[in-house]
Amino acid sequence: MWGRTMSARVVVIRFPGSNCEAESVRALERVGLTAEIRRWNEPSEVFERFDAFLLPGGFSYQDRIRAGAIAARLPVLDVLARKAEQGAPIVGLCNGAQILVESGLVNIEEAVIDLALAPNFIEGRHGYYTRWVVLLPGAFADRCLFTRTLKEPAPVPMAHGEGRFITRGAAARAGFTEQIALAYGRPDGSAAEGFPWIPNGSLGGAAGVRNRGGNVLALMPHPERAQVLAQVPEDFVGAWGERRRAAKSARELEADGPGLFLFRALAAALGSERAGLGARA
Amino acid sequence: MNGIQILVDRKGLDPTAVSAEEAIRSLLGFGDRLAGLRRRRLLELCFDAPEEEFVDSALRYLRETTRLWNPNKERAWIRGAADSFEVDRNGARRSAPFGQPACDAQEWNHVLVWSAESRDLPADLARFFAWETLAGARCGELWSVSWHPGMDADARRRATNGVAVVRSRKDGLLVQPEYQDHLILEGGLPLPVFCVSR
Repeated sequence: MWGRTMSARVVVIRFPGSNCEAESVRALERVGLTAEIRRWNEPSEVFERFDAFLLPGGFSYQDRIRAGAIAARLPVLDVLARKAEQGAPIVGLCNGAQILVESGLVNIEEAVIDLALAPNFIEGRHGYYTRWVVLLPGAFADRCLFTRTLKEPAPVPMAHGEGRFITRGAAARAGFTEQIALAYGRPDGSAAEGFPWIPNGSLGGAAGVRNRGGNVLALMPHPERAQVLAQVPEDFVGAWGERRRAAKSARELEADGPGLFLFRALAAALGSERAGLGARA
Repeated sequence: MNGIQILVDRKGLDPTAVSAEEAIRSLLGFGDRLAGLRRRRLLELCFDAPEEEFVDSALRYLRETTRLWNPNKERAWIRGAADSFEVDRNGARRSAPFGQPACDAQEWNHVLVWSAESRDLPADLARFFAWETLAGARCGELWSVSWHPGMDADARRRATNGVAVVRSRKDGLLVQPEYQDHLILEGGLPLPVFCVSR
């Protein structure tokens, strides 16, 4: 099934301070894609050879000024902007999401930066926070190539200090809900209503927001850290927790984890839907 | 209404300001038009009381707590209408100021940034100041920008606007308008500048 995707190449772009490149490559290769880590400052023609783009998690430029603010202005983002217009799949995970939002590659109104990832809002505390959360497909998940195949709640870890999607403009708020590709939820599949299942106060409980074309996704949690069953906490509730507890052998624990849905969706898109990428939603 | 400002900056290089300066020069394209960039934390307190009382409280605050500053690696100034001075690591007035914060210099432009959602006040502020006489308090980040001396006031104003509010990938850097408010100032930093009711 994945044979026809073996030629599809994904670049994992390493910025100064990125730290999730290796596991991102493993997740991509696990679904049969060819993945390669390249530095942010390589010549632009290097990036032309790739079919899809992943911006990994980490702390690019130490989150100076704001998380993702400096990396978003690097020349490689000009390449990504052009690729996004052409319909190439681009996904940013955590700091990668912050870079995409700061650069305007994920926005609501055309050609403006009208979305931001603000510091977490948690009553009684502030700053960095980490826990396992649950991703649910948004109401319009079928309009995003990374999420259209997700059918069940997917537990993945989050770990960030600036992960709260926010927009002030009334017009942007009106359009925002449609672009929520992944929302924070509860393990039973019901919508989350507040902390802790919405861990950061994100507008609309948004965990991942797509661009208007559906080919670019900014996702704050870390699906690459839930790519094998062994990574799911043993005491997690819900179906994935039950699968984890039932797994005993090394081989069982090595089974696909809940975070792999995103990478499988990418592989499917690269293998079978090239002509349809980037169509306006 | 009276006010005092407490400004805090790094003793050595400020990595965030260094990165911002480099980003403005090379990524936003300002090059050598940018002469310098400084970043300071600004706590402003407004009050209906003699300034001297609040200055004494501010000295005690800087001496007894490190919520606002780390005296091992940061410097602090107290700026009031009657007097301005640096504070040493023991929380006392420093007789020979280490350097001037450029708040009164006419050739600097300033971008003052603060959260639109909270006042970001240090949690222990109420212990040190007469809360009943405090009319307002706010904490923010003060970016002070100096431009090439060959640029006139209009050019400096346009350039400061060009590095302030984020509008696109190549326009704006220091202020994210979706959750931050700001003021762009030139010709000195007013006192008070952005206090609001508590």
